[in-house]
Amino acid sequence: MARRRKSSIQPLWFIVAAVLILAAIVGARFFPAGVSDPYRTVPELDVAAYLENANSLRGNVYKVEGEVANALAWSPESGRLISVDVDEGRNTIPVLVTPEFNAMNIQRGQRLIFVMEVDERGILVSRKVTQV
Amino acid sequence: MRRFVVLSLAASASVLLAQDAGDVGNSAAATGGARPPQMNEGFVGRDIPAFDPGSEVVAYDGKIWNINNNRLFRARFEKFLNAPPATSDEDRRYRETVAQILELLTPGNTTRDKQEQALKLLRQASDYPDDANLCITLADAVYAARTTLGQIDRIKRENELLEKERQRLEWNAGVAARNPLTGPTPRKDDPLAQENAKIERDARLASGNRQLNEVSQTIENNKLRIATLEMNAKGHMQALILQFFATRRFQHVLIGNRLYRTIFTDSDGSLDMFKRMADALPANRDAGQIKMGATLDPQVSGEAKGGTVVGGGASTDGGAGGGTYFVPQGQSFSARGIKADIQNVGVESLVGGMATAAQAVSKLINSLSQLEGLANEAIRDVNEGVEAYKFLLAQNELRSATERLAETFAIGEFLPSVRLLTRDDKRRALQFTQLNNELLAALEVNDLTRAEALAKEIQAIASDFDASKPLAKIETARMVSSLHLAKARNAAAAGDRETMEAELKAATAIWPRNPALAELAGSIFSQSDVQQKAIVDFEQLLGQKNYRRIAEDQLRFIAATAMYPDKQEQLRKVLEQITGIEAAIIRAQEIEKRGDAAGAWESVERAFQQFPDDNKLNQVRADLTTKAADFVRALRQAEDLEKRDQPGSALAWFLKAQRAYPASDFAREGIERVTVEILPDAK
Repeated sequence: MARRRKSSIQPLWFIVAAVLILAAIVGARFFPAGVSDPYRTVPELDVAAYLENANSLRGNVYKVEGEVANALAWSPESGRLISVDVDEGRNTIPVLVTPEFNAMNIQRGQRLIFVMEVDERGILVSRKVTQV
Repeated sequence: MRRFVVLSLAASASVLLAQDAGDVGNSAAATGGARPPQMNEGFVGRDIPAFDPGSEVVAYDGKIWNINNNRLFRARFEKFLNAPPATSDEDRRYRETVAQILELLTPGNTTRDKQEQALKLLRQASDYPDDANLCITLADAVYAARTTLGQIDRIKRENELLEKERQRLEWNAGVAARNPLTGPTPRKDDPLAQENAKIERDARLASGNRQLNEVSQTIENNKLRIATLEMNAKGHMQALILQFFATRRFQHVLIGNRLYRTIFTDSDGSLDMFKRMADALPANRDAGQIKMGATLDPQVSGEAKGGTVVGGGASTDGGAGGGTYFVPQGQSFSARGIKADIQNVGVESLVGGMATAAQAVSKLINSLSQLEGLANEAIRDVNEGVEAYKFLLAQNELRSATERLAETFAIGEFLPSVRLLTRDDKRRALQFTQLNNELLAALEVNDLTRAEALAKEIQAIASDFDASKPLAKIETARMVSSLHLAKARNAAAAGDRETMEAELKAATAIWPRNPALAELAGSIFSQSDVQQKAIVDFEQLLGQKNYRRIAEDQLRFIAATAMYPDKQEQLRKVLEQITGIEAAIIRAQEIEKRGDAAGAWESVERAFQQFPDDNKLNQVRADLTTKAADFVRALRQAEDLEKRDQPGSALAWFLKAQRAYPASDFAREGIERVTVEILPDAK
């Protein structure tokens, strides 16, 4: 009787395939973003530092991405004050969206990228707003 | 100089004018009852102390007082009642001496020898203390009067001689005028000779006429001097007798009166001298501050140009001097008798009253006989009063007996019948008087309990004592006091402090030692003590903001502050706060039971902001702070940053807190607050 022939697929191939798949996944994840973030050169806002002492960040420009939580107030002259959940919802920070973005619809649940300056009173004032 | 003091007359007037004072005290008919008795003028005015026997009161200067019911008389009367009887050998000898003097001077039975004997006895009587040296004063007055009379006799004899001298001079002058002693008779047809003869005759008569004038003038002067000396002697004796009468020395009045009659045998016994003196007193009732004094000091003096003196005087050693010296220039003579002076040094009413009293006495008493009659009547009345006292004492009628004895004592304090009363005779009256005085004192101070006991005690020993009047007053006062106490009790219960105090004061004024008053006052004061302590505690706890302690003892403080509206309001606020705190705690506990520690904390925190000093609230708050630590920390951080003017970070923390407890009022309020700060023009 003839002896069944063993599988010819080697385990090495499985490993290679897994690495390739993982690389594809990681690449799919990071590559598009890095390619689509227009503010790659702007540092991220250290939310913890901001909460601790905003004065130390005055004059700096940061970017932050978050989800619009609520519209707190609106002034035709000064713009809109909104709250944005950041850090995966662990913190919420107020952002003053200046009137130059009045044409932009901002509503709860939107995910936006803000480029902001910390003004002299520690208020985050938007410079750029981009919808993710 | 002797100054006659009219003060004693005021005292005598009260006795002398008893009858007239009766009209003063009972003048309702005269006035139609429109004025009280003391307001009536009476016929001698109101300046004289007037006694009303009906009411036993003396009225003077618009004021009245009871003669039996005044401290001064009561004290003197009690002293008399306690004094031993005047039964010692000395007292007996004094009484016998006075009686002997009166016997020796009895009118119709007296002789010159008896009078001399009486004068000697006067000096002996003066050795006894009871006499107060009055007899020697009287003896001296008699001696002085006799000396004056001797002087008057000498002046009269001198006048007789002068009269003879005048007759002689008149005869000589007549002879000289008719018969020229020298030279021829001038012819009638020779006018010059006639004129010369006339000049010669006038020259012859001039000396004789001058002597005649001098003698005549001296005679007239001596007559005036006699009158003055007599006036002096009589005036002094009369004044002394009146003084005895005023001081109720009636036996001395009799002795003095009888001696006066033996001295001034030609006198009618009228008190003319006293009248003239009294009338001379310038009593002006309408004047303001006037003090008047009267001096009875008749003086005679003469002076003459060229040194010639006509004068005379009496000395106390029995000698008398006098003489007439004829001088060619003539002489002047003056006599002064009564002198009245006014000093503007106040005490006007008293002095004016005394002057008026003296005048009134002079109207009532015209003669020494009248005075003697009054003295005899007083002695008889006193003796009768003593007998009446003894009789009433035997009848156990102590009130009447004591009144009679008091009246008798007031008049005849120095008379033998009064002074011979034994201590046993006076003891019961003394007991009655003491009890009566105690009763009066008890009634004066409204010690009604004591007064009632005394009234009953007096009633037991004096059958004629009318206890109805004091007992009626006591019962009335008790009733009124009870009414005031009832009002005070009601006011205290109602918290009406003002009325309570007024009623207690009124009740105290009526019956200070009322046992019910003490009981009620003790109760109120005890209550007041508790109340006051509660008030003190309340204020102390309020100062410490220990409202919970106040709330725990709120029943005590509610009662204590019932009469203090301001404290009541404070207590109301405190209790409202505690109620609010308790409500917050209960609400927090309920919220915590639902697992909402942050909500519970927030409920407590709201109360804490209002009442940060409440320990219980603090404890609950501390527990909940631990349980809602993240939320509380976020809020604290937000508030801290808000205070540090970091609205961005503050708002971030408020948002974080709201994220932890979405229903948080503190977070919402903080967000709104900071939002407005960031966007002041927000819509």
